[in-house]
Amino acid sequence: MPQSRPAPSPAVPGPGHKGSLRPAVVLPTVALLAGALAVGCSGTHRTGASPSGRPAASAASLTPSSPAGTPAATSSGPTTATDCEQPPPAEVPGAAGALTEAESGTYCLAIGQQLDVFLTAPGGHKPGAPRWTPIATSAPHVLSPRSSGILTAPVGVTPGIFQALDPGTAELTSNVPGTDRTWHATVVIR
Amino acid sequence: MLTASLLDRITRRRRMAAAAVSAAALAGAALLAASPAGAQVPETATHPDHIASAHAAGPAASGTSNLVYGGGPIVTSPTIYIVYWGSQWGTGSTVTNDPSGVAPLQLSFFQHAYGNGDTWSNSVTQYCQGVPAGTTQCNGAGTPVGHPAANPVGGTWLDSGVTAPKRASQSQIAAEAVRAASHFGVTGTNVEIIVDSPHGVTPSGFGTQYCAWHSSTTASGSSLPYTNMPYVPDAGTACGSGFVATSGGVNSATEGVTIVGGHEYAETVTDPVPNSGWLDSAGAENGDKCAWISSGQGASAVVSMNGASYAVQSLWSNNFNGGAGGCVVSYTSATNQH
Repeated sequence: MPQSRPAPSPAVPGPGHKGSLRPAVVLPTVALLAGALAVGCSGTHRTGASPSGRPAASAASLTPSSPAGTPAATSSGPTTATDCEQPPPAEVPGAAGALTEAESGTYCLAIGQQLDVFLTAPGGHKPGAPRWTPIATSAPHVLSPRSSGILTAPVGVTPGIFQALDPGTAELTSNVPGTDRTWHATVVIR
Repeated sequence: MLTASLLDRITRRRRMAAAAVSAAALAGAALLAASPAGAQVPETATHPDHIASAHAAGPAASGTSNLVYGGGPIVTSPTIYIVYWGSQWGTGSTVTNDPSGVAPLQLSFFQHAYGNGDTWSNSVTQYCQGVPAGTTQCNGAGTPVGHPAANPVGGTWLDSGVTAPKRASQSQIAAEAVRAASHFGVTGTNVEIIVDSPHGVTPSGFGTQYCAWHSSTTASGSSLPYTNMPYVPDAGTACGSGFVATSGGVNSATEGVTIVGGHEYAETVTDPVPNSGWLDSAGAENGDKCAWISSGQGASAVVSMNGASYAVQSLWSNNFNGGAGGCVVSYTSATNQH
């Protein structure tokens, strides 16, 4: 008999994830994403269920354990007044924006949008160099990790793919073990 | 430069020494399907029985949790089709612009990934479908991921009738995969279309955010798994050039072609319609969990596959270490994963 443990979240990933996208979904390109992002950052307060009817709570089962030393704070309530800026444009299709270790501000997303994070090790692409730890989200029911396994990240790059599920604020964090390097960014979902 | 005549010579040599696999020429295409020469049981350089379970320095970024079945399809009978996308590769049916020799290396690698002579990719057979979602150990239940008994390459095609975009979007890459599937007359989850971008054409994010990725689209009403495979040597060390100490005639500069290509292949057969197959709790697949390990258990290595040597990365095995899981470069056989 097969051995089981509780099933992960629904197999079909949310919109914006490149692993799940079909051409018809992808067709809205950067311009449309930018437009949607502008709506998300315009102060329009959106409420309601997660996209595609997916129960937000199920996303929690996809959450990796937070690395030691990462903030435990979770702010998941609706945010109405936090200043945020659009993340830099994504290079990988399907995402509304992408962050690197150089971006540590407060960024805004609309519900359903995808945010990619790529943290390059301080040693660059050198094999064996200390890498950033897996990127943790403080509020997975607001900003949920998605599979990055469909891509082969470059040497020394720690990827993280996240989808905005519900209004609120989430902190993304990572660190380089054995060093004092830490990274964090704040994401406001409206 | 890779010419049709050279490919034909390679094909003929391989036919002489291996199981019969048909090769057919399609109009306007260089279709090759041959088994490698000198089939033999390869050396198992890093058999897990002989290796400590400690993880390497610079371990994979996706943690140590085992893969869990998501309830979707897996690939039970893998067949690989390669499309060289665009006239930048060459005109007619002949690849002429391939300065690093990516096309013949990639083709050779997959042509050798079969049978008892391939102990690198056989770990995928531990994963299956037809079991409840949430399963972590199939234990013989369901239908396992297929490990080819013979050369799994169904064909190659130089699509010189179009020009590959300078910075292709996902929808453009997916459309090319559909175009190739139509050319080959195939679809379904047992098919993997590899879309090879030509030298000098850099899809968005290549080399900085990814080296390759796989996804699925729809063709003829069925899911069609495909892989976006840029010209990997163009990214240099970021995508594997010089990652492994060379041996067996492996060219350091092109190690990434097989490391990255193998990564995507192994992920495609275990999760052809992302993310519904086998993933861990963070959404990582069997290749991602073991990417770019440079030393210790699961370190990337040069392995022998049916008599030829290739640089590969390890793959995540739930079976390893008494079911605790780990990164494994090779198993003795598809049925002996302990």
